[in-house]
Amino acid sequence: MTELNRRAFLASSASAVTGLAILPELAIAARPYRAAEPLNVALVGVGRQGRAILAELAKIENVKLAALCDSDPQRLEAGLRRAGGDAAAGATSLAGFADHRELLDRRKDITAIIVATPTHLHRQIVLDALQAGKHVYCEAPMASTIDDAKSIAAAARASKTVMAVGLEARSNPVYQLARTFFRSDSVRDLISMRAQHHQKTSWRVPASDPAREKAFNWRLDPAVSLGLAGEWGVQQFDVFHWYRDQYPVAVRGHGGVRFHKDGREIADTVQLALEFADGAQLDYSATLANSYDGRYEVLNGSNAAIKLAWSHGWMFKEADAPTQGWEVYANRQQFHNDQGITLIADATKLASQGKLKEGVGLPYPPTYYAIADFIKSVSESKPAVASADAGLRATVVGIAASQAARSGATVKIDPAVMKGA
Amino acid sequence: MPITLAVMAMATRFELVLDGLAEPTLRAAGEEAIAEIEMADQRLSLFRRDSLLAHLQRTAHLGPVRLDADVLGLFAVAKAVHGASGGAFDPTIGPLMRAWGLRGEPADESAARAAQACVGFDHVIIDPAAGTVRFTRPDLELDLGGIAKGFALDLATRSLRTHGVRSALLHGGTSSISAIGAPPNAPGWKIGLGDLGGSITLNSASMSVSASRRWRAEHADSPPIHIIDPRAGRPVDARTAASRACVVVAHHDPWSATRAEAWSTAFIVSGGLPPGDTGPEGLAAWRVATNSGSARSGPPGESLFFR
Repeated sequence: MTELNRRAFLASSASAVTGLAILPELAIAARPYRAAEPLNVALVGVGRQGRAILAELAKIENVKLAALCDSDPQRLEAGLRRAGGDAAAGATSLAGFADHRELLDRRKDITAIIVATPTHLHRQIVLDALQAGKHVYCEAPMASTIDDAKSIAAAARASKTVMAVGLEARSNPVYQLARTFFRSDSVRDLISMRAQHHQKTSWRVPASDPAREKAFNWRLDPAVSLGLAGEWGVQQFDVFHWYRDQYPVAVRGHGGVRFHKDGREIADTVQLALEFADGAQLDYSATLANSYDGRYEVLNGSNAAIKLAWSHGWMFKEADAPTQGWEVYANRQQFHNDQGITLIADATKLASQGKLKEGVGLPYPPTYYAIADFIKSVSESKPAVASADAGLRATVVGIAASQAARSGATVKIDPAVMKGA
Repeated sequence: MPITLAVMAMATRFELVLDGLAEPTLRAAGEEAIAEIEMADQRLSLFRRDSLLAHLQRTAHLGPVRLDADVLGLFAVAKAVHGASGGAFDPTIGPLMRAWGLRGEPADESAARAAQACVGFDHVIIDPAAGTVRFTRPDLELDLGGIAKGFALDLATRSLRTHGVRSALLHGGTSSISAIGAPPNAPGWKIGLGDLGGSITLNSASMSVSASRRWRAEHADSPPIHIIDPRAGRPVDARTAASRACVVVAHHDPWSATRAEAWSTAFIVSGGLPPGDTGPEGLAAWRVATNSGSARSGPPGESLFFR
């Protein structure tokens, strides 16, 4: 037995289930994307997600943030100050707008618009931007009603510009690599699926102007919010849609206010079961009362399980699963009772650079890859990685999940809508 | 009633005590401030592969990298304190930290001599007009551990003020503190000074403490303490160090906690400013405890802060 094989044998026999960290080779290059031609971009909606997008946009080369738009003067001012560099030195020509129509009218030099407003306000902004001939990136969920989502998808189909939806997993190199494992039979028969997003937070946003309290706290407004099932769930459900090329046919579940008893109606804790036509089920749990284990997705198969946690991914192989060869490069990693082996695609290279012990996560946050893919689609005239039709289907599932959590009833998903009819 | 929120960030615990408004309002404002602390961590962490700092390490030696106004502000404070402290504060000590065994690897004196060549904040070129930073050496390595908690507190403090909070105390790992106003019916937030003795009262001001305590006991071969003197290129020796502990108070302004933390790092290395030097603008008070037991103090009027 060669030394490498012997080591692999010892590592894989250390426990029944072994964990393999997944990291794609391409991520190691770690150079930010550079647009072929200079590109002027505007952001509409400078809340928390908008600010996260700004941080990632700044890393992409040859892209200029030309304008910000927000209906709240204080947020707009804070966004301009943060993004504009040293304003006193006259650093940039970054413009601020309160109304997206004014932005579209006045700034013909802007070619791409990123929409990160509250979900229920996406429709008008996206339609106006597409109408004005702009490329558009719209956060997910794409809308809070099926009508709005359908009309955005229809406008995107009719448009010659790029329309991308912020379903971030599809751009994430870890998720892309894990998907090739999933589809190459490493997992074998899919037994079950599970996902969670647990985070202790009130989900309330402070407003310095009391008149804006309700508008800022749209997530807690039952008239417009899809709640945890929609606002958080959509991103995670889509991992399974994309991996399996299948969408759920029905959702059942329940939700309630278990912790934040401050008069809110939107559930702070939900549990859902998303049923697929082939009998497979995705169990989903989301809460605002506890942070344990954060956000992840798991696919359990007869040969292995895959666990995905946005910046990291692992594969847990069964002891009787066939050896595929790449386990040779594994190093050990402890997961509670299972001493697994960590595998990363370029382990030898990382080990030679002394980087294995520094952690094997992505070199940029997941949002970076989604925004970079959008800029790449615009710059290279390629279709969006997550299209408006993918956005429509994910949003329809999110709306059904939201209704199930609220009513406690089983909600069927209309196959005609899923076909984009 | 005051409420307390906390978050783990920068390998320590940040805590926020908020008072003076209704609880749901305080909680919402507090969570927004916590988001700022988490964003600061996301940007400056040495231990995250996806931080802005890691991005700078990978790319800033290739050409100018755009920074947001906050991080640009942080670099400006670092540059100012680096200059005014005669290099006693210098965030480019990354290679020295590693060579002297302060990052877990064994110490290597010959590597330390080589590391000294790539230390110096002058290798960091800040262009405020363009909003960029670049490194003049590919082997330059930033370690913002002596300033990052202050930065997180300054951003959190600004966020709380923006959202109407007028009474709050924030700390990161108990060594960096920022106060907004005072608790109800009190002149300020009273902070016990432990080793330094006595207490200090803060009302809309920031403070930072540093101490030359022993490095982790299990590293028998590593130097006795965890602070590098960037000027000498080696760790400060706790037995002969100019200072044993110090506390620095900065008047409220957008960068007061950042400035206080940078100066406390500088003072633990340098032992404070020469007698008679009233110190740089923005510092309200400081006190440095020496190894001989005496205390060297800051500008006239600083005793107002100490009890």
